[in-house]
Amino acid sequence: MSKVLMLHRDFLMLSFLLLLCAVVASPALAAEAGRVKVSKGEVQIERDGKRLPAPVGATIQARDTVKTGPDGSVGITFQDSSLLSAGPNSELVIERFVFDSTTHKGEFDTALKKGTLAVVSGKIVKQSPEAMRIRTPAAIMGVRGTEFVVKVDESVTK
Amino acid sequence: MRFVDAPVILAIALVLGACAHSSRWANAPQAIEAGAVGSGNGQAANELVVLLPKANGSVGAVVVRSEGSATIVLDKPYAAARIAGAGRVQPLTYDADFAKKEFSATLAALPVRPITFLLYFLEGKDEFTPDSEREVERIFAEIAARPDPEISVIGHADAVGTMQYNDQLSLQRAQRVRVDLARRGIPGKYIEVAGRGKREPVVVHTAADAPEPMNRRVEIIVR
Repeated sequence: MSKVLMLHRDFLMLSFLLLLCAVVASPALAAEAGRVKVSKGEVQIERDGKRLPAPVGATIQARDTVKTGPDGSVGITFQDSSLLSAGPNSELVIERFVFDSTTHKGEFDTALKKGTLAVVSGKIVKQSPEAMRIRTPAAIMGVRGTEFVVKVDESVTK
Repeated sequence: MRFVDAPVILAIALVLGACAHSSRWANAPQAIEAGAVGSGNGQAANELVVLLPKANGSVGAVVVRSEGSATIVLDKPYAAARIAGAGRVQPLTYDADFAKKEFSATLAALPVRPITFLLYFLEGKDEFTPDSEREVERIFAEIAARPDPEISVIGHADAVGTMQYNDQLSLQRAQRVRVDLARRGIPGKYIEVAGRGKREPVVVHTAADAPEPMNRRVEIIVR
């Protein structure tokens, strides 16, 4: 094999590796699901076992747990324009958030472990009804384009 | 996890509920797939879902599923379901004032609704129409009024050409507007762009590939 050809092959290999790096790295860039827009009293984000403050402007990612204290409440706007808010003594897990801004296809799963939640659905539901789901300890709510509130009384479910 | 003080009545419900039904939910699956509902802790629950009318007065729907129970569709204002445990779902109509009061702190924390603006271009030019020029002023006012404002610039195309071509074209339109907004003083880091191609026409023609200036637009969402 000629030297030129081998160089060419190395270049191709390098390009391929660089491309692979870019592909592997991109989910980290796309991790933002939403932002905290309202934060009152005690509000915390739990991410990878770490506790983070949740001021206005804080990023919410899939797999985050959001907790509010007795005086706390939090409002989050997601990238598909869905809104979620939680009242005092609430625990919310953003289990999955996937949204394609071109096709509007996506999946949005949230679990309310305790407390209260208000939901305003966004573009994911407009594109695919019930692609947004709220799970409670005893039920699942499939969202078909709407606004609603949910309450889970922890003193009873625990 | 902390416990909250429970009204006596709920405590009674817990005892009664647990006695009557504990065996039924002992091995409920934890899956979150539609139809398969996780409960699994083998104890009573007290959960409530209440459908609200939308801000524009219309009403959507929520489907409530709980293992061992028929699916319930809530599709009227203040239609509600109380869930006393897996499979124990009771439909009811909630009092509007009571719902607003019971969920007041939660509803008060809802972020300001995202607002959408449409911008049109002068034909064959890179400039906005006079109406759209005034819209830009409103966009600035909206951005200034919101905490942590985010802006999505979404390009749309008419039906002339392939899907791929229009995805590209609509994205280019959005990027052009992003540059323009940045030049007018909105920091680029707040602006994300997307191209919806020909998926979301404002005006629909019978001919599948009809040209339509109303569909050649850029939508701006301020969140």
